[in-house]
Amino acid sequence: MNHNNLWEIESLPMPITQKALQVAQQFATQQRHPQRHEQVYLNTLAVLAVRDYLKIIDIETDLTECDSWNPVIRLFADAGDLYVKGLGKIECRPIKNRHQTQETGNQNSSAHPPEICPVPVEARAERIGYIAVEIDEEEKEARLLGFSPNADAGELVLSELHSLDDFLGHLEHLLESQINLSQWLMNVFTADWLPFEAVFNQQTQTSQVEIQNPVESQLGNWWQNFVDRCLQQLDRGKQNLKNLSSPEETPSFALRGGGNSREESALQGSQSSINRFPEADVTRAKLIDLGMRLGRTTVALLVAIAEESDRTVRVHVQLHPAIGERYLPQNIKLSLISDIGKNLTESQSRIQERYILLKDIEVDRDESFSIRVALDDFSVTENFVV
Amino acid sequence: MRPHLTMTDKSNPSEGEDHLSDETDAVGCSVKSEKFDRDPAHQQIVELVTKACQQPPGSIRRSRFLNQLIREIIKSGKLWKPKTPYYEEALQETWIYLNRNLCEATTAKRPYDPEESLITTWLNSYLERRLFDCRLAPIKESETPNRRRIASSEGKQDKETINPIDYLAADYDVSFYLDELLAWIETDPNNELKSRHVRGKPQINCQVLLQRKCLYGQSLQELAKEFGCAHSTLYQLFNNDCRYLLQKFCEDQGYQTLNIPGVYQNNEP
Repeated sequence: MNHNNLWEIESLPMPITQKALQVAQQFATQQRHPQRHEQVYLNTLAVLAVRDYLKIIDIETDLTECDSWNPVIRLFADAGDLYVKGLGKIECRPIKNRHQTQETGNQNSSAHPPEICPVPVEARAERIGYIAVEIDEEEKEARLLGFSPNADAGELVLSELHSLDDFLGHLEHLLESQINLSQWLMNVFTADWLPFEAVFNQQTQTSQVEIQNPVESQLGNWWQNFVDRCLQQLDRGKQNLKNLSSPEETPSFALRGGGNSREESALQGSQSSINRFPEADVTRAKLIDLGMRLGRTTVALLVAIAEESDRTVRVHVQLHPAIGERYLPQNIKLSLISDIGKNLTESQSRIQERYILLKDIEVDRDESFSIRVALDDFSVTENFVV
Repeated sequence: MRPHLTMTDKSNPSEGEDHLSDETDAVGCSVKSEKFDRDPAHQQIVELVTKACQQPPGSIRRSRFLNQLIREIIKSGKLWKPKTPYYEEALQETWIYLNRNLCEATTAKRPYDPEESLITTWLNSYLERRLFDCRLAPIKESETPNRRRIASSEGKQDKETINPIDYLAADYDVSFYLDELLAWIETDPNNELKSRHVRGKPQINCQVLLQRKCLYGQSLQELAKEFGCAHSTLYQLFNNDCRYLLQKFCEDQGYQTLNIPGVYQNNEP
């Protein structure tokens, strides 16, 4: 076998075990079309190779919530997804041994076959990266050719793949950008999570906001609307955070005056209403841009947390429209995803919805979860760990 | 490379690996010779081992050094590669052995000691033993039912190297359910599948989409071309409506093991 390119030398061979062949064969025979038979066979081998690779370098994965591992979805979708715990799905795309293909191909044409690996539409959703895997059944080897952070063009160009070390760097970066809620409890925040309490300090509001966000003029208005809405809701809200489990109930933000707020001294005006919500220790909001396609696609994700005990934290999540909008876009979906990718709870906006919220969840220490905001086929995921 | 079957007879695969590597050298050079100390490839590997072990266990930093280490080991060409059945199984278990015993001894008595042997020597002696086990008995298959009951607390079981989900997914025969499901898609008795379609195009509905994908093996791109619509539109029909209906069908039928990923079960799209 000749491997002339640098990226070919960089690739890593994983053994294709008898067990993997058995599983792939079994999944393939469930298919009802010869083409699907081969797709599923190769997808399964690719997924298992990447899973085995990640296992030997100590990265935890899970297949229970993966399309590639679901007998029903496997009948319809051409997917090789594998969930990296706490981070998200990677797509393992198989290609058949290119050297065999080339030998036969070259009889008719001297042109080099295009070295690309197609990525179907359903294998591009919510993926944190792509790994191309060359399946060599004869050698019983699955070569991990390399990594790409995206596949927007619907294919991976093999010569442009990044190394597996880059892939691990990518995972490391994702892990570092995980939001650590234990740190929130110690008043440590990243710049993109704005202090929610700041909105109550109307005198310093503008300057606070200007520092933290470039879209100052619009945001000032947005915060004003936000404040008005919040105050309205606070006046009405008498329920505990615990009871907030559906949008039908009285909306309210969960705030606890004290402890972690820089603006605490300026909160006198609304202190009385704030004290009615003693459950939340920290409330923060982040502006999320869902792309420019629909014009008004910035939303504010609000996360309130309350320390329940040494071991658990209660998390409350709301989604609000941003920058001067009264309502959320219709059909925007807010989901809470477990560390292995299970959709634990979900809420979707209807026509003229002012905000949506999720059922509260309790999260154990060291446990991770994700919040996904999705509109049409576009989505943004925020990863959290307690 | 010659197999040392007599030695593997006595040994317990889950422990006591280390004494072997003192006496056995799978690549045929004598252990503790001064040769490998000065071998630049060995020195590079020792450096990687040191760096990997300086990182906290389970950290991606350590993973990155392990990745490099594995590449170097493969590149050295010194890993034993006989043409025997179950070689791939044994090799995979050998990699896991490396992971679990390189810095901290998890399944062996002692972690790898670069002073004592080349890393390939250390790995080859384990590989050899695993191969012998595999040759002795296709034990894996007969052990499967017991192992399947074990919760997936990997790492705690020395020999548990294959995630139980392999067995769950593979051994559980779902073909009957899939037949029923496809029959339902075919007949669509309550018009549920047909009634969910691309806006203004009732002919592009869930029934058609599922059948084309499954029975005709067509891709969403091909279908988008044929139907004259954006593939993202078809994807949304598949991802929202079809998934929801498939989940609903599985729930109605009581197929508890067939939950559809990505569907929040009490929520209609």
